[in-house]
Amino acid sequence: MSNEDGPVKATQVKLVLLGEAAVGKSSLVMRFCSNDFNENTSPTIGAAFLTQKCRLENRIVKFEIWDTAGQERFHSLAPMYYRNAAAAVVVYDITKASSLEKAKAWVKELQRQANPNIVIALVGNKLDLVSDESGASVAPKSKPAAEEPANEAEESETDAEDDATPPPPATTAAAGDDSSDSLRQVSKEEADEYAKEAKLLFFEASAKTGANVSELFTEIAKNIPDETPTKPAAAQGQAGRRNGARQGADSGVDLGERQQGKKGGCC
Amino acid sequence: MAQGLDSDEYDVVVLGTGLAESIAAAALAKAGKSVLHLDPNEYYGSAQASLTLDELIEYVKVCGSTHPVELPEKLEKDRRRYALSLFPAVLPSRGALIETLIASDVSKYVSFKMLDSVIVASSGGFRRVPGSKEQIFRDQSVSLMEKRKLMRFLMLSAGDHESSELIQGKENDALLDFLTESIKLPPDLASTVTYAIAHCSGPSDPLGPAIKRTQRYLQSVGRYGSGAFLVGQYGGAGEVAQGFCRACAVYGGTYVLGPSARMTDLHVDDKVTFSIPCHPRPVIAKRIISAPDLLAPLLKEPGPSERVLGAHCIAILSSLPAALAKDRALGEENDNEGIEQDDTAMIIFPPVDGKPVVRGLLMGEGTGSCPAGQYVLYISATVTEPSDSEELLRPYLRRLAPEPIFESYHVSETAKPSSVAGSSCVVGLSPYGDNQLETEALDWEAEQGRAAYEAIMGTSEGVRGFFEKTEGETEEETV
Ligand SMILES: Nc1nc2c(ncn2[C@@H]2O[C@H](COP(=O)(O)OP(=O)(O)OP(=O)(O)O)[C@@H](O)[C@H]2O)c(=O)[nH]1
Ligand SMILES: [Mg+2]
Repeated sequence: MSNEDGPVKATQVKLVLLGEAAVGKSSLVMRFCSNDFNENTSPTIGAAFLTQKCRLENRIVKFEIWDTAGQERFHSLAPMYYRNAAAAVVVYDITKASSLEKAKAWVKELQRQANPNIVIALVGNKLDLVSDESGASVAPKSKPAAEEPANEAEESETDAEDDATPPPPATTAAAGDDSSDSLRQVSKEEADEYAKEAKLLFFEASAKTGANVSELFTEIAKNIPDETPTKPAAAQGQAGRRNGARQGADSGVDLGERQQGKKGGCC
Repeated sequence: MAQGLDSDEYDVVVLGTGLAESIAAAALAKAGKSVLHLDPNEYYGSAQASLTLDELIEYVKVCGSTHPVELPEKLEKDRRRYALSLFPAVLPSRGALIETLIASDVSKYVSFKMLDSVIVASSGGFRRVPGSKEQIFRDQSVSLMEKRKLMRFLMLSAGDHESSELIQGKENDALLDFLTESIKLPPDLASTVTYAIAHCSGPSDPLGPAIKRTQRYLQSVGRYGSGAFLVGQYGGAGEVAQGFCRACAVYGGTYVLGPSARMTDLHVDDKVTFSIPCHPRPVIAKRIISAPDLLAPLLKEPGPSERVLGAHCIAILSSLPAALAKDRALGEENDNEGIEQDDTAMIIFPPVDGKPVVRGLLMGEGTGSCPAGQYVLYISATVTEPSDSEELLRPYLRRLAPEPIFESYHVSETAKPSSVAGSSCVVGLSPYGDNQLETEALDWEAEQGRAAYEAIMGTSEGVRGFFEKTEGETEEETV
């Protein structure tokens, strides 16, 4: 793992993911941490958390990324999940209106449970599934395809047909997808407006193509204050230093005497 | 949202999210079993939960306390910043839970600090118990002669005490008598060793087990710092249980809490069948893990009859108790570099006037238990009658903190180990029924968790061990 921290300060930041099932939480993390995408991800299983660095001009932010591990499905997320999280990514699927409602509920929950200074980013995922990423995306659902500027790749219809007819010279996103703009159920405007109101960062992104994924995490990193208490044990005050001093400020005792996390790298 | 569970069938259903249950659930999920973990409460941890202040007040009300309390207005705004433990305990640096935390990697989710001080109350005041041999030698309140005697006992405990002539045949004698008669310690020092090092629960606690606890105490000293004990952040046990639950979920376990997890129509024969509100069809599991207390009413069985009762006080203080302030306490080593006040302490009141041993545990802001500048003080004792917890404990609280900003009292009931339902599908957990809650209970829970795992997996060769790592995993783990 490359570790050129040197004189550059590395801020360690716990980041939690939230959002309805199958909106692409794990896929966004996979894209960010290993620049990879998998069509058939199973509901999240596996890692405790992943780590990934984000290099900014004057410092490095090291994300410790926690996925819900399905504990949110029956509203059973443990308080420890939110504890000390400095950032949260709340994901919805732009092709599923109900997922934005769910995202809003999660934002509320975060504002109730989490650290009051938490940086929250709202992410509309699966941008690759809708045709037009610029002006047209403003329109609400079911825009007549004919109005679109000619872009055949994005006009291809159903999955079945895609399999039969090879798609035209590919744009990155569309190959093999049902990508009519009518799939969009949440307009960019609507979500953006909500994000502004609730003071959230906002991105539409695609874990599949990678569009906006590193931008998302970089923007979060920029919004993390320099002096965020780092490790979970961080205590805000004076007391409790006695042992902390031995271990590095307030980080508590390292039981396993070994490194945490799984992956390194940098965005 | 979820239209019910993903499946009608599971290898194991675990009922209750106490520490032992959660450890078993995580270990089983890791070993590839499909696990459904249910808790009828809205919070994790069952009888070991960490609660916010408003949750605690509700809990005390529901568990039928004769002393319901209201949320003080000035604490209203910070009520969610408290992590108040129903199971205040310290963790010996060596023992089953530490090893389980490390093996399972749940140590990544939870954090611990060294317990700063152990303090013993006597009629004369409070004294800090020297943690290590070095501290014993520096302690000016103990004469050289007494130090020699004390060291003799400690060496005896640390070594091969089972074959020691001094001890053989006396295993059932009281430690306290042994210390005064055979080791010839003065009464004060003998009492300190009995209650603050060997963690006995009364003057007649037998030598055999007490000396084993002393040995473990000595082995724990120095592993992570100068003391023998760690304290968990955010209330300890409840947070650790959540960590294991997360690990279970990460390995595919399904979690349902609250009303939608409330089991009905539970039948146990060669399999386990039940209904829960979150699923439209009956659920079938091969095995069920639970504590008898939860299970018995569901099976319409009488349930465990023998119970251990605990009286508990949970108080919030706005400053460090004067008795614990470094410049005041007796027997202080002369540390002239800026005095660091304790953030955490265990305070032991040896039994007097027919009262039981009373134990206090102080948790400051460094443990994440309360807002800055405050302390949470737990005071507990094992009692024989469901007597008045307030009447018993209040004087101890007042002695430490004359003006707490919040205090609540409740009685806990723990079933003594017993078996439920003759079916082999049922794996019963025994709650910690003894009374050295502070030092032994967490390891007990870890051992129970392991036992449940082994009851289901078996221990024969080729079976995956408790949190055993696969080969690929060990490689990946090294960063
Ligand atoms: N087209 C497209 N599909 C995506 C995108 N992101 C995720 N998916 C697919 O959506 C499905 C769910 O993705 P996951 O990443 O598992 O979603 P999740 O939110 O982690 O789901 P849970 O862990 O079950 O809550 C998978 O089949 C992914 O391949 C995307 O940006 N575009
Ligand atoms: Mg996922």
